[in-house]
Amino acid sequence: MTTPTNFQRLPSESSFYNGQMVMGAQASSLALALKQLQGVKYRALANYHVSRTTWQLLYWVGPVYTEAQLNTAHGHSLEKGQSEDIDLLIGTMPTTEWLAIELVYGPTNQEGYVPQVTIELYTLGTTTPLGTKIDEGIKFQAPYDLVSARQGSGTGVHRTHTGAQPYAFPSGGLSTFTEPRPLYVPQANRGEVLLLCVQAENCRVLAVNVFDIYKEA
Amino acid sequence: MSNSFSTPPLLADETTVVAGLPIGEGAVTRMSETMNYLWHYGSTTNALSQAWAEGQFVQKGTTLVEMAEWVLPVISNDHYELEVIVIAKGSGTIRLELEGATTAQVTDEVSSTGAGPHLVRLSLILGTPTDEYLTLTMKVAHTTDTTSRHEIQSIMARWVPLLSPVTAGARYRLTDKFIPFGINRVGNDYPLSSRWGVNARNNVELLRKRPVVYLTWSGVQNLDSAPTSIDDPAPPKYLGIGDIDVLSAPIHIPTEAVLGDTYEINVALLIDDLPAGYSVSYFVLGSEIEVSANGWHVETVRVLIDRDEAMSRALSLNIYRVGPDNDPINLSVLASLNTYASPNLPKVKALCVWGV
Repeated sequence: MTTPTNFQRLPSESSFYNGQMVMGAQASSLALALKQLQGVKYRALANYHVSRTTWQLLYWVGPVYTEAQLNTAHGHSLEKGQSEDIDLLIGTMPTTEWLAIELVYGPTNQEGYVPQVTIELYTLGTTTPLGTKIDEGIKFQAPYDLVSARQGSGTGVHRTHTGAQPYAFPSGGLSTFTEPRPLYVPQANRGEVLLLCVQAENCRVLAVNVFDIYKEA
Repeated sequence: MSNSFSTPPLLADETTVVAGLPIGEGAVTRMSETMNYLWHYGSTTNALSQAWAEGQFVQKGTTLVEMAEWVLPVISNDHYELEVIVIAKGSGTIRLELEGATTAQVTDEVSSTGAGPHLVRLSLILGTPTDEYLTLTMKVAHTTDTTSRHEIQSIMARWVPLLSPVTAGARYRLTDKFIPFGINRVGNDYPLSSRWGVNARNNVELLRKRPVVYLTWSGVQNLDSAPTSIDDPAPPKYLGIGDIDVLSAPIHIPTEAVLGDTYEINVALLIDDLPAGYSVSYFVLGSEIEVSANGWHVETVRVLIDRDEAMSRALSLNIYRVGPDNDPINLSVLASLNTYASPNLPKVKALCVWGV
């Protein structure tokens, strides 16, 4: 039987009272409800908005400090070859195995430059963010996973994601990035706070949404 | 024996508890362990997540000033420790303050020196929480040395998960009661009592209602000086219409929380510059939230938007986009090119959403 994703109706409280016949359905529905809670509701989840400069280029004025993101083009142009690193933290659950990722981004508007974003998974260090790498990581790359350079003065808003299909690792493991796939959390690290190291080139990362894939128990 | 559990517990096979068959040995033990485990581990993932691009959340002043603020729901009276981890650069101090309307304030303050990046761990330990939700305030200062500024890159917080066993006796979230199970009493050859059935059912109902944080966003206030050039730090102070497409978290919301009113979804907005006597409306999840005063406004909402079909198919879940709606009202009241030059219009300084 599959894991229910919703809150299915529970038997009435009085069906468990003394003098009532406890039917299989009552006990079974409790078992399924717990399966839903452990397998679907209480998964790891982190939704990171990456706040950016609020200088806007208004063509009739020039650059203006506006205190908020006032349009969807998101800021002024990227420099050629511009890159950035963003470290994000996620509190995993003891049942976490695969972390799927949705990336919200804006590609460069510099012609001839290829937007790409890599994401690796690390344990936390003691005083510095990076500990040990536990997943070699994934690479989103234009034109396969990201849109290519756009025309215009800003970067626009686009989305891409890893999908939710667990990945079959080749024997011998990985030594470099793969195409986008959910990141794997080894058993020894489940339940820990882990670090996602996001590196972007020719591309602005605007938000990173991380969700723990629910699975059949 | 105590209210123990293994981490994670093995789930009961529901086919061993179907009608017409004896209840399988171990099934009730596993269900009891799972309930104990979920009481301690449920909703202990991120309660707060936010990041800033390089060079934006920066403080050069040497006095602690309030720079960001969020609202976080309480998950149980037993989860009294909030662990906060910040990735920061440069020398300086971070001070956090956690309090509720009736919950006494607790604080923690950590300083770091050198260029970094630093992993700054803070711990806020409450007495017994007496509120549905608490406000978390972040103050930041720079320490004068060879570094020119103190910079925050990202922050996360979680309620610290608790180890086995669950403390004896009834446990609570505010006044709602959870009854943990003594594992010895639910083993094979023990009677399956009416009490177990009633308590298990009520425990499941309570665990279903425990809040999960969907979204946390705060503007950055009190920069040491107003930006004067395009290279100066200029993080958003307020929510703008440009955030609508970005602040749109994919969240699984169970159908029962969408169609019924048993389960709550809450939106918290921190409002500034609303003139006395006026009100302003915002739309989140299709629900109108009317605000008539400055400060935090927390409201329970219904889900009145359609789900994101593409993401729902990709994840095999009911995925809704949680954030400010792409709605004509939001487009007119959130900061925009039409309003930025008018300083006296109401603004949103922070937005937090949590549900089930």
